[in-house]
Amino acid sequence: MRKCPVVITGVGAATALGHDFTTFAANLLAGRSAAGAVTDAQAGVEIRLPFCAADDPPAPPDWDAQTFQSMPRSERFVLWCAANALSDAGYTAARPEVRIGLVLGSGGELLRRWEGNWSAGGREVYEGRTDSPTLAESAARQLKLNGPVATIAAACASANYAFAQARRWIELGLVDICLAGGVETVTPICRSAFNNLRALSRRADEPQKASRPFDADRDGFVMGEGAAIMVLESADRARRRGARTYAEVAGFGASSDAFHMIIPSSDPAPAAAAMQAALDDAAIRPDQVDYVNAHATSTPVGDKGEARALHTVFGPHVARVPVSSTKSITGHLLSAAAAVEALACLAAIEHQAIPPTLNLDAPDPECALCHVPHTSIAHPVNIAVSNSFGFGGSNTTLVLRKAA
Amino acid sequence: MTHSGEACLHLSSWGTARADLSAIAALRKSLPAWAPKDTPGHFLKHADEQTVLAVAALDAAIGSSGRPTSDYHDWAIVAAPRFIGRLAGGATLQRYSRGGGSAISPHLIPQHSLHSISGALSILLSSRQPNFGVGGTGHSMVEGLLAAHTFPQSGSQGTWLIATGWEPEPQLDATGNCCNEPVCHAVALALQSAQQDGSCGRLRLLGDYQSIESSAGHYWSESAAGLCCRLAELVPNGPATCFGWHLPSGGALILEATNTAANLRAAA
Repeated sequence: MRKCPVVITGVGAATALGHDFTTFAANLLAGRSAAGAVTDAQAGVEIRLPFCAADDPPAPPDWDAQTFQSMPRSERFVLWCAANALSDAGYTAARPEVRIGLVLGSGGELLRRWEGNWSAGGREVYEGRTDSPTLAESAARQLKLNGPVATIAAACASANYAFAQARRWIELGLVDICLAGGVETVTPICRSAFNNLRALSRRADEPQKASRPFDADRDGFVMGEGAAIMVLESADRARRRGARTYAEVAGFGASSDAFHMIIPSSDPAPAAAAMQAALDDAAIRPDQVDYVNAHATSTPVGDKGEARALHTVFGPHVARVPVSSTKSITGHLLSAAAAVEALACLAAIEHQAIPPTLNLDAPDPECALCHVPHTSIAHPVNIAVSNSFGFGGSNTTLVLRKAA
Repeated sequence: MTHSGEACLHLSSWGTARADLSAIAALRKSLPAWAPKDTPGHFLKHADEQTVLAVAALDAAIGSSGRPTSDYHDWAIVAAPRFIGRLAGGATLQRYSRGGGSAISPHLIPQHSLHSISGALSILLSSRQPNFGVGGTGHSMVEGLLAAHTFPQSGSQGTWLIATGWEPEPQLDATGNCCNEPVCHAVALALQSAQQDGSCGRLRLLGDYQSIESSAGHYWSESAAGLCCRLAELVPNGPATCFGWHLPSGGALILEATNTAANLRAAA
């Protein structure tokens, strides 16, 4: 047991399922797919793909709407989520005595920024400016945060690293509370790059059927966009001030495949090592896990590898631990995936229900797990595990435990 | 900052690398001797220039450590590039403008993003410990040092911090081609919680303002390029040189480094 448990006391969300936790959880547990289709056209080339688009967030309360709308889109997502998470946790604008840090999972923000600037007629990518801040730095300045700030990237595992780093800063006493999460807004070039990698589903004509993790007929993932940011603080501090506690950040584990820049290893050992490390960190056994939110993106190789890793870690218990991939509902949010999937785990804990894997019509025999197909189920959830793996062979697992 | 006391990691080795565009083109074609035997020769073909230099700095640091590469299989890797992907990004925008989405390289995201350097190094080092990128812009160095210092080391023997960046930054013309003579820099720091024989410095996280101010002879707020140049100038077996980075929230990170005899041999 850790000396100083760290808990989540506030959440902010900007997703295709809604811009607050209540709406997100309701849509998630109802299994309402956020997928539509998007067409990118440039130089006579049209690319049409299934895609989970998030509406632009409104200005947070007390913010000037015009100023807010003039900001880059990804910055608006971050500010909306961070401001709402702080407010949800009970931290109002007057908080000079509280040291607040920010760790943001954000992997492709420079490429996205340069593309956005270029699309608007700018030349930032050509000029070599060295004074432009990261999204996290910019958000910290706008929110008047007075703690350390970091941007962390491990591709689709980024936000799990952000949670781990934030928890560590709290444990070390570097901050009193820490905002942590991830953000992803998707540009036409980003979509094209993933499309040319042949990583995306081609089912643009039936987008709501496109993301089908663990299904035998899966053909790639559906990109999604949005952000989720949470307030982390010590359980002692939360208790002292009578804060609502969503869950404890009970464990984290990480490993690398050391195999390939893109393709996940067929050896389940590295991913299993991350899961086991997270369970060890949380001081729990596999049979104590009530729900696994799988990374499963709906790619042929990745889903199979994760299923093998789950078998390695859970052994005979794999037959009874419910597993679902909420990417079938939200799409794959890349840098923000782990943040939104942590939110899905909080929804499972709060509602004592497991969100489903949509489109799981014919489970791949090589992905034999305790699936929750099509519709959510009522189920006691005290401990939820969230896997997130990424390019560069990054494997991460987060364990969230219902607050005592 | 009320973080009390002082936390310290030991610097067991360091290495640097600098190269211009033509030298980077040559470096792309050769892998370090310690790369796994089954690594394809074209492993760095599509890599970002900063990744290529990161490999060279890591090679220098491993060489100066006098330890076999197998000692580093259980090391975590934190990479802190500055404006990684800008050359590729400039070229990509030109290609997209002319050829649309089908002209975009599938290597753009995997090879030119914030995570790309740490991912590539974990493969070359056969490290199954965590790897991630941090920072990305002007404050990458301090974000990288803080991440390397504070990320839990459980399961890892140590942490490699690799910081990279251009100085001067490349200037691109309207066609996306480079029109100045930029130099890419990389520095690799081997950090461990336990002191090793032949240690060549330490990284301290200080919360006490007075102890920071009383430390004389600091170079403050060096970028990766600046640190790379300063380290390369260290007198062999001379006194430790101190480098400091203020944390925006108060406190500071102080790196003390010496040029050991082993560093000297590697440089030779």
